[in-house]
Amino acid sequence: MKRIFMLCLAILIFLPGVAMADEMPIGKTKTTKGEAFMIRGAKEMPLTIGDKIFQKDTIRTGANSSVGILFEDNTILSLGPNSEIVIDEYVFAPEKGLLSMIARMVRGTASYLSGLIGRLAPESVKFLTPDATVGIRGTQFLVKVDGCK
Amino acid sequence: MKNRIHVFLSLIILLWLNGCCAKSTVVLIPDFDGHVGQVTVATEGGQKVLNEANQAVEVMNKKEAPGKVERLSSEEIRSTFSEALAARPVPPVIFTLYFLPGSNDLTEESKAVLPEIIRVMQSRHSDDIVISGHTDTVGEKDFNYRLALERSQTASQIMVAKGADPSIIKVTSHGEGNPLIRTADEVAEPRNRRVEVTIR
Repeated sequence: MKRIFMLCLAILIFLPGVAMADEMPIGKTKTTKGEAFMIRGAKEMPLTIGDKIFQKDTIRTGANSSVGILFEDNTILSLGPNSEIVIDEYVFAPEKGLLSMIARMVRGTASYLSGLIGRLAPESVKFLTPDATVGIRGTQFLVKVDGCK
Repeated sequence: MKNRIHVFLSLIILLWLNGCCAKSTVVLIPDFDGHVGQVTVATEGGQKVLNEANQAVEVMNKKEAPGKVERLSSEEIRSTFSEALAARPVPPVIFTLYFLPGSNDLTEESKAVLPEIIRVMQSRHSDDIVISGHTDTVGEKDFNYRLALERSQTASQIMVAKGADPSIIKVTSHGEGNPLIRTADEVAEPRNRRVEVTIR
């Protein structure tokens, strides 16, 4: 009985990982400086120009570092030093009418310019900070989060 | 014992401070073309609207409404955000191509744009080209998806014949889901029947 339970648990844990592998990339790294990383599941990998970004990835930068990402819908996101952001959700399928983007800024500085998702479905774009939600009407803005050490 | 209580209290205070130490600042800046949009910054306590260039607002915690909207100077923006701003990728360049009705032939105007597309592709050393097909809202969604895909494939073949590298081109279809001009369903709109070449 215990074995069956463990098996079920293992399936539950690994299934989302399997499903994720089939997903399409949602953007690419276009600029990097210093130490820029991507955290995907349990893996942490350095980011270089041209690397693909996927839904649920965390992007992180070190001191004197930065990174710039161009998303599939032409959303432009860049991070300054000591920054971290999680792309909780990103769906760009205009042919099916499916559009959404939820980005969660953990700390540091960022610049954000909304793309096609913001133009076609502005209510579906959410930019979160630890204490606020930024709603976007086709525009460019900067965010700074003084996080907890 | 007294010491322990001290340590315990200090820990509580530290945890409490940590819980409150996150502070967010949001600054609205003009788009690359100078256009200024709008953002709303909302907490459980209320919301503020930014709709002028360089307006900024601070949020101290999620319970309180965002603070007063203030305008930052370029220097203030630079001092905090210069590195994030410098890391922004160059915005993509988008060219729009139109076809003669019911055919795979480009209009004369669109044919004339092709050399410029190739020139920009080369001058930017782009290795990331997206060609997307679009239709108006006349007809079924599925049909329009396939129609738009055929047109973007045709545009891709034309680009390759002009010297573009096929391995860097991604051909997609947005069907009727990404109109240039918003219309009701079943509306013929020539400006929506297009192919976009995005050089990223």
